[in-house]
Formats: sequence, C-alpha cells, structure tokens
Amino acid sequence: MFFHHVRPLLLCAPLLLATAFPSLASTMPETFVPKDPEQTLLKVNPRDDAAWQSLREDRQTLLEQPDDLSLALDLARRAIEQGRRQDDPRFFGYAEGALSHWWDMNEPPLQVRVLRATIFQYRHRFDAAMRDLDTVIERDPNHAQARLTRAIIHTVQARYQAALEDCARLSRLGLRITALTCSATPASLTGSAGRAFELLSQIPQQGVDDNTLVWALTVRAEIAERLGRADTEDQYRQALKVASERPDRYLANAFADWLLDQGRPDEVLTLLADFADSDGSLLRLALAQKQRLDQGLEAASAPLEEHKSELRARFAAERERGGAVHHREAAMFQLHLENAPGEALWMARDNFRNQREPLDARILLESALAAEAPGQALPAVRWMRGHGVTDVRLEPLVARIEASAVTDPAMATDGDRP
Amino acid sequence: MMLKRPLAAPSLAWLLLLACLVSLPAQAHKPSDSYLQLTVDGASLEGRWDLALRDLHEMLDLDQDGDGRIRWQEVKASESRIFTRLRRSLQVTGDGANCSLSPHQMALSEHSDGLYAAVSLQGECPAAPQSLEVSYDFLFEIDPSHRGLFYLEFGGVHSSIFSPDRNRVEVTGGVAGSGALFVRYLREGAWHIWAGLDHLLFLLCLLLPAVLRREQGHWIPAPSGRRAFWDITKIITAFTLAHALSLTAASLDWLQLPSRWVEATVAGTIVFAAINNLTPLVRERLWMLGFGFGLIHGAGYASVLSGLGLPDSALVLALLGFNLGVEGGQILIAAAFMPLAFLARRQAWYRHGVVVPGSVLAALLGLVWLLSRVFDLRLEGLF
Repeated sequence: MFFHHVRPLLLCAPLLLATAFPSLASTMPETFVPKDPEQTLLKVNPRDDAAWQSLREDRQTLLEQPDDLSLALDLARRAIEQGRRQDDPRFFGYAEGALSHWWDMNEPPLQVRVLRATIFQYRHRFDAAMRDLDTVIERDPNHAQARLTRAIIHTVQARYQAALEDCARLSRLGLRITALTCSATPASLTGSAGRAFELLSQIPQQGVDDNTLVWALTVRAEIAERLGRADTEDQYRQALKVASERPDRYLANAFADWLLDQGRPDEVLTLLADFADSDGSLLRLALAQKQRLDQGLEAASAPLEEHKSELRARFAAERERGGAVHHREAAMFQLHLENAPGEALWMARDNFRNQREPLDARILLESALAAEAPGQALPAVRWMRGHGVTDVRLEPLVARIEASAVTDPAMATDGDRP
Repeated sequence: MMLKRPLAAPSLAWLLLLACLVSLPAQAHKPSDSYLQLTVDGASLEGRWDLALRDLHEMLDLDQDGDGRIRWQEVKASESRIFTRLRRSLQVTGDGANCSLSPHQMALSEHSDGLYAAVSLQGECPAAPQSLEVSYDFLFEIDPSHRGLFYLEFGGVHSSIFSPDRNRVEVTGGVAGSGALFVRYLREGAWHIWAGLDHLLFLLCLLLPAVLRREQGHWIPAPSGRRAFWDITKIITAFTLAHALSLTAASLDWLQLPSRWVEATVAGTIVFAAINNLTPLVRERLWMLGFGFGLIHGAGYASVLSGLGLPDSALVLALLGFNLGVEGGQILIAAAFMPLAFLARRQAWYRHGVVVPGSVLAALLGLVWLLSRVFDLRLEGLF
C-alpha cells in the first residue's frame, strides 16, 4: 500500500480498493441495467402452476397462524420433496421456515423431529439428524420414516449392522420392498453384493410405486457397477426409463460417473444437460468436458473453463456464507479439475470422517495416490478390508496403496493421524 | 469507501452474460444469501445491497403477468414494493439514535447463482457515530437458512453474517477506530527510532559530548547539570521540529526527494556529527545544526511512513501519531542516556574511553553507509 508514491493512481481509487480488499470486491460484482426491458432475467413457476400457487397460499396462511401443526408439516413435506427433486437447498430452507415455530424447541412433536432430521440429513449434519431420529425411534420404535432415514444415515456413515437392523424393522412393518432396497446397500458393502443384487432383481416391475421402483433399480445398478457386471449399463438404463417421467438427479449423476469411467463423455452432456444448476451435476459436466479435451476435442476447452469458474464461484460463495462445502465434490474438483492433489487429499480426508460411501473412499484413495501420500488413505483401506466391501473401481486403487506401504512410513504406524 | 465499481467499457464477462441471457438465465442452486455493503463517512451512510431476484420473487411475486418469466420491466415496476420491504428489513442506529437508510436506485448484478437486484442505499445519522448498530431481518420468516453477508467500512473493514440467531451487529469504528489508528502510528514512530540504527547513532553522536565542554582543545566536564540539560533540550527540540516539518511535507508530497540521496545525506550527518565530536567544526549554536540535520532525517522517516501507508481519512491523525512516536522514542533514549553520562562526565574514561572511541566508531559506520548509499553498493553482512 504505497499510497503516497502512487498518488496519481488514486484517481482509480475504486480499483485500488478492489485490490486492497479482495473480499469486498468479490462480493460486489459490477452492476448493469439490461438494454432490453423485455429480457427474461429469471424463469419461475407460472401462476397457473397449481402446486406452486397453493404452496404460496398455504405459506401465507401459516405466517398468519404459525402454530398450525398439520399445515406446517404438510408445507414442510412438500418443500422437502421439491428440494430433493431439484437438489435445491433453498426449498429445505422453506421447509425449515414452515417448522420455525417448533424448530428450536427441546421437545418438538415427533413428526417435526422427523422432518427436522431429514433437513439436517440433506445438509450433511448427520449428528444432529441422528439425535432427532434416535429420540423418535426410542418413543415410537415402529416409526417407518424415522427407521428408513436412520438406516440411510447409518449406511452413509458405514454402520452397516445398525442399518440392517433398521431396515429389518421396516420389513416387519409390512414394507417389504422398501425394506429390501434399504438393506441392499449395507448388505452389498459387507460381503453380500451378489445376494443383494439377486434379491433386488426379484422385485416385480408392476404394482410398485415409481419412486420406490426407481430407488430399487438405482441401488441395483450401483451394485452391478461395484460387482463389475457386464450388464451395468442395462441396469442404469432400466432405472432411467422408469424415472423418465420425473428425472432423478441422483440416478443421473451415478450413471454419469459410470459413463465417465467408460470414457464416454458425450453421453454425459446429454444426460445432465438439464441439471447444470446443481453442483454435483455441474462437476460431472466439467469432468466430461475435460475428458473430451483430453480426447483431443479443442472445442471442449471453452465450456470446461466456464464450468470450472462457475464451480469455483459456487464453492467460494458457500465458504463465504460460513456453510459446509460438500467436501466430496470439492475434493473431486480439486483433484480432477484444479490439479491440486494436496488440497484434494485434505478435503477427502475430512469428508471421509463424516461419510463413507464408496465414492468417498474413491476420492480419498485417488487423492492420496496423486499426492504421493498413500498412508493418508489408510482409513479408506481399513474401511474396505474391514467390512469386506466389493467394488471393482476401488480394488486397483487399494492394491496400489498397499503396494506403496513399504515406502510410506505412515502406513506402518497410524494413518488416521491428521 | 467507494462502493461503486468503475463503469468500464462492457467487459467480456458482460457480453458472455448477455449471450447467456438470450438463451436461458443461468440459475444455480445454492442456499439463499444477500450481500450488504455499508460505508460510514462522518454522519452519512452509503451502501449497496444485492438480493437474489429469486428471493425477492419468493417474497413479493415479481411475475406480474404470471407467465413464468421475470423481466427487467417487471422488476422495475415492482421497485417501490421492493424498496418498502427493504426499508423495513434494515435498521441502523448510530450511538443509539436512529439513522435513515433508504434504497434509491436499482440495477442488476450477477452472482454465482444467478441475477440479483443491486440496490444502492443512502442515509444519514443525526451525528457522526462512534458506534453503529445494524439490525437485519430479510426473508428469515420464509427461509431461516437465509444469510446476510455484511461488509461495513467504518474506521476499518468489518464483516459479519446475519442469521436468524444473530440478526444484529454492533460495530465500534468511529473515534475508537481513530484512537487505534493513532496508537498504531505512534508505536510505529517510536519503534522506528529504536530499529533505525542510523537515526539512533546520529542522536547519540549529538548526546555524547553534551555533558562536556570544550576548552582550549580539551574536554572538561560541564559545570552545571541545568546548563547541560538546557543545551540538550534545545538540540533535541530543534531536531524534532525540523524532522516533523520535513516528514509532513514529504508525506503530503509537497517535498519530493530521491530516497537514496536522502539516505546518503542521513549517513553524512552521522559522519559530520561524529567528526565534530573529535575535532570541532561547529561549537556554538548546536541547535541550529540539529535543526538542519533534522530536516534531512525527517525526509528519511517519510520513506518509512510511506511503507506503512497513510489512511486518507485520518491523514492528520496518523502524521501526528507518527511524529509524536518518533519524538517520544528520542526523549526516552535521551532520558536513559543523559543521567548516566552526566554522572560519568568527570571520569577520564568517559572522555577517552567512550566519547572518543564512540565517535570514531560512529564516523566509520556513517562513512560505510554514506559510501554504500552514494554508490548503491550492497555490503552483505554489514547492514
């Protein structure tokens, strides 16, 4: 800040300030006024969209009568469903808003607890979600939604036995297909992948509601992929077909990962074209463009850079608001797109403490290898060997990690140390 | 303090954005944030508040024709409703008294998740506040996960995040900020005297023989302490006044001297003062010598001050602080040195073992500095 050597430059004080306070500058982009007043700035639900209209009206009613429990629960459920379908955190905010009368209570009604847990789960605040779910199940052991949500969190955090117990309870409640799908993932990750695949294949295609069916078919495709089955693509396509009415982002992202592994980036572009608004899909679109560029397609370079800078801005915005960046996606971004294995490894390790799905293990193994710090991937190796995880994508990575065990002293001691 | 970014020629990003808009508005999914920036300048407030069009629509239904597309003219037509809502959502008090703060213009800006209304704010407090309290309540009733990212320029830059649990911040920035600024420059000035070996050495050269008198080519102890004290006070005061003058002039760019030559001349003053102790060149009116050399040293301090950077808003305060700091540092040194020297003045070792060798050493050191600065030499390991 050699202000007085550069006094003439003070004419450009705003510019200087922008350099002096990067955080200020980054929050305030240039302003502009559109030349054409007819220009569309934002697409929203049209007024004749009945669902949106009733959501609005109900919200207004609730604002006037904030302790109307049944209206609040109904509104929150609808918001959560919208938020899930569009992978849009704002709707989870609206759900929280609908429950605000009870949100901070120590003893809210059980239904509120279940929805609160669902919102925490979406925000990856698993501990808070578990506290609510444990309480609900303690008071009402047959609460199906609580059991299912808890089973999913147990699975994400690699407590497979506990997950299987919750799923089994669903079966006793008569929710056979839900129970079967619920237990398929934990079973497949504890040495019974083949059996889980068989059981899922016995689910009838008729007489099951679409949401449940899409979920079951997605889980089956994922297991096929981990088993390295030749029919993996068919499995995914079958699920996509059932989901064609109501596109499912989770499914699309999972299939995109498989396509990327096969070196088929062009198909990813069409598959995810409508989903670029969520970070997870945008990341995969960027990975696809990178693959195309690596395959020699120069035209991919511009969209790649565009996606990268948008992802960078989104991660930065999330950090700025003090939110929890989803470290799995952030780590994948750092490793595959920013070529920063050290940064990626740090995030992947942090992420693996909170969630332990195969993809979480994969990014940890990959970044540890890229950063030449194989010892740092020990938690993933232990998870894999300890549970008997079947996953053809992870096997070669783990083998490489174990092969370098001799050279990395961290492997000999405790790789879990920060 | 300038919130408006320069209105440059349409940038590439701008054009890209336009291209995007023609096809489909980019709208990413992220939690809801608004960006609020305020600057306090005396009693007046100025700012900008960026709010997602999507959030404004959620609150106020901007889609007037209900066709599922929000156009700029629809946003403009909703301006007064938006402004009314914003006025209700933001309260500012300065030292407990309400300040006005009103939206007065609206444009657009692009953030990572799409287009925002960029609203400029203007307001006024009853008096220049010492502390400012800002209460924020936008969208929370609909979306408690909304956050207001707040940047405030008030003395320094403060930032905080508004949430339903923390929808009010209090920032003390005005006078206390100036106080902190003053103390910082005061400390820098005092520290500079200790750390700036050349200035310290010059001062010691002036002080060494101050407890002695020269008579017929010999040093004799000064007969009276009061006389010695008075002499020294005169020298130091003249030196201080002079360097305050030239430091101020140089800092305000009234006086521009090449720093290398200033530094070289500073070294020259040391050589001169040291030789003057050994073989008298100037004996009478040493304060005049102090004054002249003070001018040179002040120009030297200015380069230190420029390294710190001078805040435009509190220029006088910073200069005053720095000058007082320099002076305080000098007085401390003199106060520590003089009593010892005065007690030792009758001892032969003081004259022959301290004043003479000390001055020789200072002269040599000054000469080395002088040469290295004049010829721009790097004497590695020396200094």
